Amino acid sequence: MPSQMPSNRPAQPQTHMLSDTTRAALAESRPGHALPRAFYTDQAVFEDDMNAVFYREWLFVGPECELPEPGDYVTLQVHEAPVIVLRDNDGQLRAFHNSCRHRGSTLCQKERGNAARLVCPYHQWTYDLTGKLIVTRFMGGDFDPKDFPLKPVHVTSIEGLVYICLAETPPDIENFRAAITPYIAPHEPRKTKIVAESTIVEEANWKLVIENNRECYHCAGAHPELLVSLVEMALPNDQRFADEFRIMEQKAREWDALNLPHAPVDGGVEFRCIRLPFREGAYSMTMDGQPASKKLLGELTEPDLGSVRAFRVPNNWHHFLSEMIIHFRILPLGPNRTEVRTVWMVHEDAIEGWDYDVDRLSEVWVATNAQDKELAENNQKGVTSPSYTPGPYSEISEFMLINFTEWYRDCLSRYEAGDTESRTAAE
Amino acid sequence: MTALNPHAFPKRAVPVPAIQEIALEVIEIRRETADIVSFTFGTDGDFRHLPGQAVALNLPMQDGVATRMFTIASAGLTPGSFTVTMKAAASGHATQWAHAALTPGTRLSARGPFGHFSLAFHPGEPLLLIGGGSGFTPMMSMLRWLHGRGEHVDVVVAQFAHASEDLLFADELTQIDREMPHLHRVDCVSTVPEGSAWSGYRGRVSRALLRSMVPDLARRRVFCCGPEGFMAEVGKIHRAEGGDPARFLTESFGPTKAPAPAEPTEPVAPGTGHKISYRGKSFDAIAGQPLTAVAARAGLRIPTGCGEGQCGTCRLRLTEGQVEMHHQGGLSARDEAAGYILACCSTAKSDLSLEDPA
Repeated sequence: MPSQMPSNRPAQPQTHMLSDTTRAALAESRPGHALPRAFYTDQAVFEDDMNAVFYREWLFVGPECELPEPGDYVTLQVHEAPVIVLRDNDGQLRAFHNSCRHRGSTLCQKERGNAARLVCPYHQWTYDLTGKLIVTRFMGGDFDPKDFPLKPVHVTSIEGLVYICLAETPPDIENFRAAITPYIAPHEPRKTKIVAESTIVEEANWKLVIENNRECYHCAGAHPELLVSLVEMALPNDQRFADEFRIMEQKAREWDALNLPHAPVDGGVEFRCIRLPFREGAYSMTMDGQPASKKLLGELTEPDLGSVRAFRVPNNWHHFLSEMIIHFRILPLGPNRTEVRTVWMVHEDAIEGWDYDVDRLSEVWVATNAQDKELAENNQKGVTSPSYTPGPYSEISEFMLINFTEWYRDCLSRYEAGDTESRTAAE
Repeated sequence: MTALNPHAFPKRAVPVPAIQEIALEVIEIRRETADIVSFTFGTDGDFRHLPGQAVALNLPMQDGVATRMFTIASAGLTPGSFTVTMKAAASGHATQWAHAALTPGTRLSARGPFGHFSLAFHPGEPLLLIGGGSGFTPMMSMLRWLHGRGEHVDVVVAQFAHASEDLLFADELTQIDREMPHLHRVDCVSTVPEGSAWSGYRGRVSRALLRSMVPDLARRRVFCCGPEGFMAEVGKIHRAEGGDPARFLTESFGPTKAPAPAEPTEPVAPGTGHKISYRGKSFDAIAGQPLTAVAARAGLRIPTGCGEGQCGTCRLRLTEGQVEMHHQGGLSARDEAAGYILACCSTAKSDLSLEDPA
């Protein structure tokens, strides 16, 4: 941990007040059921979500390959907190609040760029890439720039997946790191490059966007392009899918021989990680199931690896294929608005037009995202109705939503009680 | 929805290997024709190049090191080695030396790879790879690349040589021709000695000849390399047939002298100084004065911050000329390589053209 990071303070529970609406909605909420209306629509609940979840949890930013060189930076907006993530001259990742220590202006306005120094465009206060203030003008003799470094944000890279945490004392992420690393390391995410990006805004609460992602109950009716490759089962022993079950048994033997882990990881309610096969004959998430890039990732030699599906609360899910990686990141914009950013990666040495085609590689998830946007927006409209009563989740198809809502309610309770670590993480 | 945005990312869609100093060892020498030899070099590290790129060899001759540029003949599909196919020109002291002196095991140094003369940047187009003499070597590089990757592109390969015994890579071309169904190969020689047989094209390059060799010339993206007159003539013919000049690419082939580092010119006194053009104005540089000050005297304010090369606020693009610059880290290596300068700590060393950054 860099030296200027806030030091871990002795545990001293800091309790918080949730809004009356949030407390009432929590009381009304029933396990195994969709959440009450206020959780999806109410501004006060949304503020509690930001404080209890997005300002406290580890958030996925993007792939580390987006920051290959010293001075490369990306920016993102976490509710009201603009953040810069960059690579410093020693090659280390750093993150800062994107706000000048002079009068608070944002320093970087672009979504991504390269800068030797972080210079406030207002009065040119100039910071080096470690956040140290190095140049100011007209500040007088008793002004000491050492007192005004940029405020750091916790940042870590898990095999090339960059996460930040805005909390002073971040929750533990090492369990996730240890669990996911053997699954994704063979895909060598750091040696990839972004070749396509899409950012869409869904007129839906962030939890509806996540819930929609956490089940494939809706896939058969909504996602013809995705189902060219994707099997709808969520667990390898899902008995509803006899054919897929047979493929899984065969693939499990092949992947064991390749030393590629595939069994579902016990991530409790915090995360999920599993390698699942694609449908018979499909290698990739393309319209015809054929590989999206000729160059396989890392040192892989087997194109038929299905995908490592990873999910982590509260804002990210991923597919790691033999030749492509796809990251999904959500950021809430309001009670009924959520940004969804998708990036597609291939091997950094792959050549556009010869090894891959951007449209072909992205079209399945562009179509699927558009369908999911419509589903989430329809859902938002329906839960906003005064007549809405939360219905039961399917224990067979929607167990991950049961996990998610359980985790979410627990987050709010822990925030109120001042606990950092999840009480249900060990389940 | 934000459009898919494939060209705005930090790592390039066509990865161009970084230019580097390379230590070489000759590992194989192969005679191609009476005056053309192929040298295969092993490199330290995993040197790689795009097909069609060039390399500068430092030839350690008795009277000093001669640096010469050569296009690379190998495909670039196997990192750690490359091949230069070199003609010993009648007037080429350095290439004659190389033919005589380089033997397996000889160690020398090089710098590269250079250039953007590569089909890697132009996927999905019908191609004509046309080369004259040893100018055919980058065509062979690109054809070997297509063949090695198993590409099924529509490609015509045309080789011009003095006589049939001067044609390069004949056996390998025959082999590749068998294995690439969409390849059309044509050879043309300018003379056929009496008593010998030749069934290919004959004559000097002309519009009628080239049209008979490549009837759909105009629709192809052309990579052309050879003597200056040859490239000029093929370019004119491509255009005359209706081809788009933007789709006609040439490479001057070796040996040419490698670009020498620009000599700094002496500073000159005020009044006799260099001209600076910026924002539509032209004004004189002042010796020893930073560009921010000179521009200010001409009534042009460059945005500034620290005034000492730290903050980068005064970043400009230098489109022509040379400056002496002493910044203190306010310009990233990437921006500097891309032609940016910091005006507050730069003085003119030649006539300059400046632009505000995009």
